[in-house]
Amino acid sequence: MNRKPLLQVENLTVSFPARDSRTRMKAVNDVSFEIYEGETLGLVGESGCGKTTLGRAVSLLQRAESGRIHFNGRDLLQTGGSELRKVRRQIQMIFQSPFSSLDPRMSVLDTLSEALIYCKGIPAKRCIDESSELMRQVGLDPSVIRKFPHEFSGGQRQRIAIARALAAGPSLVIADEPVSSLDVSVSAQILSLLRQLRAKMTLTMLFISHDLSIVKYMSHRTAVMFKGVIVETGATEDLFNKPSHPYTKMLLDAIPVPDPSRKILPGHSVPERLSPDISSGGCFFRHRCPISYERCAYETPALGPVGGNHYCACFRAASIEQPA
Amino acid sequence: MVILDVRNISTTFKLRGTTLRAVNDVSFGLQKGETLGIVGESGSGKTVLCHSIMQLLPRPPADISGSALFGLQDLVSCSSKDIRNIRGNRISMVFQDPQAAFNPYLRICDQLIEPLLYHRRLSRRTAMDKVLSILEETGIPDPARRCRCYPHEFSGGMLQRAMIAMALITHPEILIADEPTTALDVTIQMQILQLLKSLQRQLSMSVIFITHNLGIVAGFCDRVLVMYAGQILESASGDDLFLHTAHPYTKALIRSVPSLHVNSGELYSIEGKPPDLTKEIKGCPFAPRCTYAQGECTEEDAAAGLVGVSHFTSCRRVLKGEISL
Amino acid sequence: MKKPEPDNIAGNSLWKDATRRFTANRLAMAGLIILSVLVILCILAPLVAPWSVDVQNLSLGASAPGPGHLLGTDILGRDLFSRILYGGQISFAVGLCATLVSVLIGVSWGAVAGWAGGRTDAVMMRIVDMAYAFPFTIFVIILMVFFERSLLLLFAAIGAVEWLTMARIVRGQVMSLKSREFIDAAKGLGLSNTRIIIRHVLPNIAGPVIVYATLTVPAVMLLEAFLSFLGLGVQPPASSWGILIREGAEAMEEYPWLLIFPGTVLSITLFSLNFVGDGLRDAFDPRSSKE
Repeated sequence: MNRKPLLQVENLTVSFPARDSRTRMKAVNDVSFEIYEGETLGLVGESGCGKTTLGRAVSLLQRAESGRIHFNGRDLLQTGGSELRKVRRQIQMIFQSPFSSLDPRMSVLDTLSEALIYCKGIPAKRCIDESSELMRQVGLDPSVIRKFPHEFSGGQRQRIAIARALAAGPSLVIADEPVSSLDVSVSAQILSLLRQLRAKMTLTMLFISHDLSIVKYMSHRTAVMFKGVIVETGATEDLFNKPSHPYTKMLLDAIPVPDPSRKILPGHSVPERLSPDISSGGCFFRHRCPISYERCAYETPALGPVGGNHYCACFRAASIEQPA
Repeated sequence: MVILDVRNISTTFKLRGTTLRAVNDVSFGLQKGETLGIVGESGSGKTVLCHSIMQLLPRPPADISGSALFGLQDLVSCSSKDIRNIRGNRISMVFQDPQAAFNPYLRICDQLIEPLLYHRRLSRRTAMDKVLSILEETGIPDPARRCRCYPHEFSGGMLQRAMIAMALITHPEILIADEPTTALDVTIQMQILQLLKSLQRQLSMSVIFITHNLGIVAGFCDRVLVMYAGQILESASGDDLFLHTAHPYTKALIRSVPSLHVNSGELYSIEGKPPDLTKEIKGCPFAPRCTYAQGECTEEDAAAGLVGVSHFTSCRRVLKGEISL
Repeated sequence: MKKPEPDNIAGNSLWKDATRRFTANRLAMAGLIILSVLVILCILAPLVAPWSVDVQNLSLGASAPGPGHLLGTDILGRDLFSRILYGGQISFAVGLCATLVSVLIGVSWGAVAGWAGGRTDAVMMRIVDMAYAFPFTIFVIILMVFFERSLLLLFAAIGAVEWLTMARIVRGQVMSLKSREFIDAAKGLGLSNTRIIIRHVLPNIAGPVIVYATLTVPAVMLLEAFLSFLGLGVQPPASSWGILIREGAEAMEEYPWLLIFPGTVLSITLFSLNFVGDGLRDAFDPRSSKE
């Protein structure tokens, strides 16, 4: 693996007007990370953590309030106009919903040709051959290339979406919950396909999901997000075997494992209070944290090293009990 | 003690000239206090099965045969008056989307009170007390104030708790939960599952838990039915299902799920697609996609047999001992 | 080795699905057929009408349907059937042209407002709101009084009113389309906004636009009839169904057929247009097209 980051995000903040429309709510709060060429970074977190917003901000579908996105040596947030349109073709997104990510009025051939013509400059008469080749690569029969999205199943549509992303010839692929709306067996097919394709084409990927098991399967490195902040990041093996942040540990404990010896026991828990004002400083996680103490209330922890390439944003990182 | 005895349920839908066989000759029994999981992917018939038992399908176009004995009554063929007395009273249901289960224009307390006023004919005051106590048991903080809120003022996890409260307020004997935690965050999901377990113990209630998540099934259910193409392929205790798997589909399903704790190589992906339910299926419905399939699997009628105590499989090759999974 | 031919399997576009559903709808097809017959008859009026409209047979006066005059004659002895056919030309022309004007203005306005969003959208839609509140009748009367009473002005005036609802519909459609992921994907391909609107947005709003346009035509025709009834619309010697109805209403006690026939023809036309519009709406309903 090359040590040069293909994507380097620095202090990225994305905010939206809050319900009272006077204040702004930070969906992504001063986030920094990098992805190296050829690797897959998994971005995991529960709903509302900002992972989708972060993915959209990196692919420039969402305007960032501040920060820098360095891609191939260029800050995308300082680029504009036709220059930007050319660069963004190298970052392609695979969306969650197979239903709304394809134009229902365009056949597969039209959809793929559009990407081929505008991104790779392929002349129109060669589009059929190129598109058929793409179909084959994602495991679809090229003879159905003139059919329309509603004539395919969810899994097949997702394959078409992958083909479209590849048609643009990207160097970075952002997959936002690509299998969340698919059945287990179809999901397995799509994940295997993504792994094959990324190996064959040496793709760099940002893989966003709420499902830790899938993220573990797909990513070389993983970042855990909570309320707009990255709380832990590290090599996938390290992070899953020795989680450092109490939130990561909580997530891992909460996953039901297909192991009959691990039973779910009766328990009574009170749902966490809907978080009060986030901007009141301190660690965002302290209200749910089992080991928070006084310092957490007035100081916000930054990502600090906990060994090797493993970083954690918690003052008490070293004191987490490791799973057996 | 069997409190629900389901026999030979078959559900077909007549659509524009074709007939769709959604459920094909399904039988099972539910014990008192037991948690029965029904596992299957979309199109397996698990939801249609429960809707058929509870008379929630309009007929026509649905055509349901078979019986589901609950005490002395057959839920499938009893009158609408009778089934209405049972639904929400002795058998309650909880669904995937709590937003859809609540009327957005009514307060939570007004909706929770309804089953008590209708089924138990309690006075308003007594009913309100029960509402407050069930809300507290489902872990909703400050119930007196919260119950006067509207559904949109609740978060997803809390609304799911409220839906469970509404289902349990009449202390039903059976709770049918159809993917109740699929739309929830993983940490909330764990809380809801733990809550269900403890309420189940408290009320000695039986639970039918429909899901596609094998992880939940392993930790939460006593017995499991694996459905595919409208049929039960395997039925076993939770332990047996994972430790002594007796059907290639179950095995394949287990291997398709990425594991958190085991370092797997490639994910196993099942080739092909589920069968077309509008066509007659001869033999085992999974055979076209099964790596162990042989001629007899599609040429002869579906098999059925036990491989252990209360462990049923429909795989003829497993029953004959030809393969071990 | 021969590569698999991708050309042989054609897909079922949503247009094909919609056409199939429409042709299966008996009421809609009946409406379409009746409409087509009427339109063709009116277009071919010079060939079909037994009499020219300016032929007056004063000695006949207003006479009931009889030999030579299928639907009777009016007070000046003009053949009613012929007048209805020629009048239909004007009525259909107004219906079509005014609708076209309203579609062009409405779609452009709504698409720009919906796509731009934010303040631009707010301003544009407030203008629509204000225009809604404006009393239409007074507006047209003012127009007609100050400018020459021409047919062209009539088209423009009617179209200028009907575009409002079209703009609102289109804006709503565009706004909901904007958040669909295939639009994001198109942006990701680096397509310019114009290209995205033309290639992705417009084809996807075509359905509701066509439906609403079809339902605008009867409204326009009725409006024209109303204006002509008031004497503000089409001016003699040209005639439209509105004028015929006015003349018929004035004479209805003595010569009822002068009102009944034009009135019935207008009603049938409006019914047919509504059936066709309803049929189109059902045909395009996205819910029916999901497998």
